[in-house]
Amino acid sequence: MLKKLIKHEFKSSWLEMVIANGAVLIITVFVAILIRIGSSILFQTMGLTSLLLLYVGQIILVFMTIIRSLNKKLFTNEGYLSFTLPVTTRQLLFSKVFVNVIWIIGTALVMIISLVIMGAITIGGADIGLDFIYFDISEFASANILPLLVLLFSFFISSILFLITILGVLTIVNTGKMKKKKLLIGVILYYILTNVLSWIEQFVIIIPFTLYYIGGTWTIARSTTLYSLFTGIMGPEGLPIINFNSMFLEIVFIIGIFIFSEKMISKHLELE
Amino acid sequence: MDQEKIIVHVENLTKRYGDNIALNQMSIDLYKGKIVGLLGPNGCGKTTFIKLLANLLNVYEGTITINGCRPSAQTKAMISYLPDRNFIPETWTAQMSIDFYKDFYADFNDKKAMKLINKLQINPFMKFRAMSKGTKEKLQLILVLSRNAQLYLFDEPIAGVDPAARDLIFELILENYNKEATVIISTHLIYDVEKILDYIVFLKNGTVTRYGDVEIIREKTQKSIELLFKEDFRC
Repeated sequence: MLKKLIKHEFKSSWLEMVIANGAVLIITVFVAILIRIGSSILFQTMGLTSLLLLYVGQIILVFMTIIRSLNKKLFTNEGYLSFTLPVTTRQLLFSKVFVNVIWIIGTALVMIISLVIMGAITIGGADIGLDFIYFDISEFASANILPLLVLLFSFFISSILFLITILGVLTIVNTGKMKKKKLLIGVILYYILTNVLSWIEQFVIIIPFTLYYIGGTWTIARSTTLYSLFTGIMGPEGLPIINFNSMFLEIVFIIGIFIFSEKMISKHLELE
Repeated sequence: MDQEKIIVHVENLTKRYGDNIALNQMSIDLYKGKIVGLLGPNGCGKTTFIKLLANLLNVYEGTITINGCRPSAQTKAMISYLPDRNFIPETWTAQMSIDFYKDFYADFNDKKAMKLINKLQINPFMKFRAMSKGTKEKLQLILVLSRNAQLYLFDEPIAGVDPAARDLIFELILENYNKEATVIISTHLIYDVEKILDYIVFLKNGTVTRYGDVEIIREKTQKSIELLFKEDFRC
């Protein structure tokens, strides 16, 4: 049944996601050509700025689509269809989180591809030095496949945590007695929850190790300074890539919020 | 009757919404192959009872079993439920709804669904949001009836439709439900539904006030169900 849930979740969301991400790729090509043939630096800078704005728009659109879809399928009239399927609440929630994580990763990949396209088209043609995008990304990627996969995994965990937090907030808002101003309460709750989680990550130290990028090599080192222990922003010598303590706690939060949401929905959801 | 013939067993069922009691110490047995009218005025607990059977509400006191099982994913596979509102996503077509039901319900008969869709002249490729109110209700009814379920739950299927449509709805239900299954129809429109009922359950403020075989009740009281309803629920 889980496979079927995932299949239908993809079926119901692919069009919006393909349009959102496809538009970015098409506009990237268009902007890159304009930058290449444009004569003035101002024109090229405007093109690049519009591309950055496009990325911001893409992220907002994808996130809003995901939040709207979760809310609609679980907490509105469509919930009558979802919750009467012969599946458990756990399977239902898992399928939705799984598919939306795939869409978030897909969106991130589209942004990287868009940058590569931009770099490839503008090589030698732009005055604002866009060549570095193409060369640096290609060079870095070919030399650091394994660490990049680790980074991708870290991004994967963060995406799940983002989705689970959204799910948790939607669950609280829809299983409580709140009838009005749900959006406002939801935004405030999300803000509070993410801050609380962030504080916990900073002060609960269980695995004091961080993956660093030091002088072109990857090293796992003990986070020795208090600052790196708490934030992971600065390592002993190089750039910290993954703070294992944060990752571990994120996994704990994911499991915790998921179970909380599942129980709340099972016990307290009353569809209107 | 035999225990084996019971499909729904409810014992001392109480459901609270905060301080409000929606169902109070409800105890009934419903039998296989019967059409049951769950009758009572608005707000008497009909929808709450149906939602409990459909496993949409999980917190309650007392016992509910459906074919011997507590409400769960397992019982959902036995139940075909028509809520009192539109539940099909607005962007779906009738064809997409059929594909969805076919995938999730082993007892769903897609050929029967298509036959009914053609019979009622519903465009299988029209989006749900573009359909008229009546067509939406027909489509949802078709989906529910195209399952070979053991228990059908219809929550106010005729509320808000004109008398001609009511006849069509009853016709569809009677012609298409699995004859070995039990059908529970909740309504406050007794006149339209009385003729098709085998069993009735009168609910008043969450309490069962009358319950049993329609013929026996009529014989005992020498009154129609509609008249009894008016007497029992007179303000």
